[in-house]
Amino acid sequence: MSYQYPKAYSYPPFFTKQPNPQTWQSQLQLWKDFIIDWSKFHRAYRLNPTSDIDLFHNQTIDRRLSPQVIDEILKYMTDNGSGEFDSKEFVIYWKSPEEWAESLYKWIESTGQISRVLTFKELKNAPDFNDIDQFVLRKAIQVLSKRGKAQIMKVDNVEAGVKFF
Amino acid sequence: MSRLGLASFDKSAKDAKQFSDLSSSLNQSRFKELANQLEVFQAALLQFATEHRDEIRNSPEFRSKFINMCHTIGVDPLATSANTNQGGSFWASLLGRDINDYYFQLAVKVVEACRATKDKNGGLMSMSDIITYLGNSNITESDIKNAIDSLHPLGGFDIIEFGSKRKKMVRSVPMQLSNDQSTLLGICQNIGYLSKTIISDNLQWNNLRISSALEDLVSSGLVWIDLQATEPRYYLPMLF
Repeated sequence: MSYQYPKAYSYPPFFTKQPNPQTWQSQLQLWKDFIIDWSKFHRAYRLNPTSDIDLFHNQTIDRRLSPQVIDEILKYMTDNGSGEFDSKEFVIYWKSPEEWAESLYKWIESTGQISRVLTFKELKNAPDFNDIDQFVLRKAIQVLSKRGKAQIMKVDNVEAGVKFF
Repeated sequence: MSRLGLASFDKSAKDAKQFSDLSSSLNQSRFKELANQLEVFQAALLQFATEHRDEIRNSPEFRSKFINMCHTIGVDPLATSANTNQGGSFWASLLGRDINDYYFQLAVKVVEACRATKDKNGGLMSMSDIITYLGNSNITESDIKNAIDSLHPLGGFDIIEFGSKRKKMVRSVPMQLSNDQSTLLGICQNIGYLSKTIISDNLQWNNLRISSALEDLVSSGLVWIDLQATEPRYYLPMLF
């Protein structure tokens, strides 16, 4: 099944920043929803803002977002917790770290692995985790360790695995 | 007769009690009076409204004056349930319950549709977009018109038409469209978008007039601008 682009994607002004501030706010919101939806469909965890991808470039109508506008949109998404930069790349939270943490912990509980130490590789056995991005996985573990439900174990100062409580 | 000795102390205490009794009974009667007055007033208002039922129903001017009067004296006719045997609101009982309830409800939905899309279309939404938004194909444009009419006493919503197609638009924010703006929006509906070339080909306007009308439309959010064509193009907002 191919991706069903939203109607806005074929609306030429969607690719130009609107001067009216209220219109711009709702345009930002539309872009955020679109980016999340698109990434979720493609299971894309990372975007390179400078690369030429269909997401920001509709070749059919020959319209694209300028790098400045892309920056503004990604900044907006960062501010509202829908993603963040990992050096040059933008990591998209089509599931928030909290949601990832929730389903990871559920899996740990239901498979009786509490108080066991699991390697990072083993964690990818959790349902929906097989292709998870390392950065996102760490964020999810951070969420759990803040709640006192997980701890990263080190061997010779190298992170070896995670223990769950 | 003044009392002497210890008995005079008794008297002053008795006096104080009498005074406080008197004041509370005065308060009570004043309260009763006020409640009475209110009752009488409510009855009079109802009487008035019933007597002038047809005028309230049929004459928008009379209706809005009546509503204004109600507001001035702090009565909300939409909320007042004066007619208990019908169980409906004062207003609904006046105007016939069933049919108006339908329009009131539709009006609420129309208001919601306009509010939800306001930031995207600058507060001007075509009737066909409203029907699409509501997702109910049983609703006709004339239903929407009736619903908007039922909001008229409250102000703030009305219907405007422009362009050769006389497309009906619902306006939900207070604004005054200039003639130039309406003309441009009309052309935009016919062609799909606007540009300076299109405008000057169709209308004998000078450059300044064109730019200022376009700028107004953009800054009030009524059209979206596309800067990636050979010259700027202006589009009507779409229902995203």
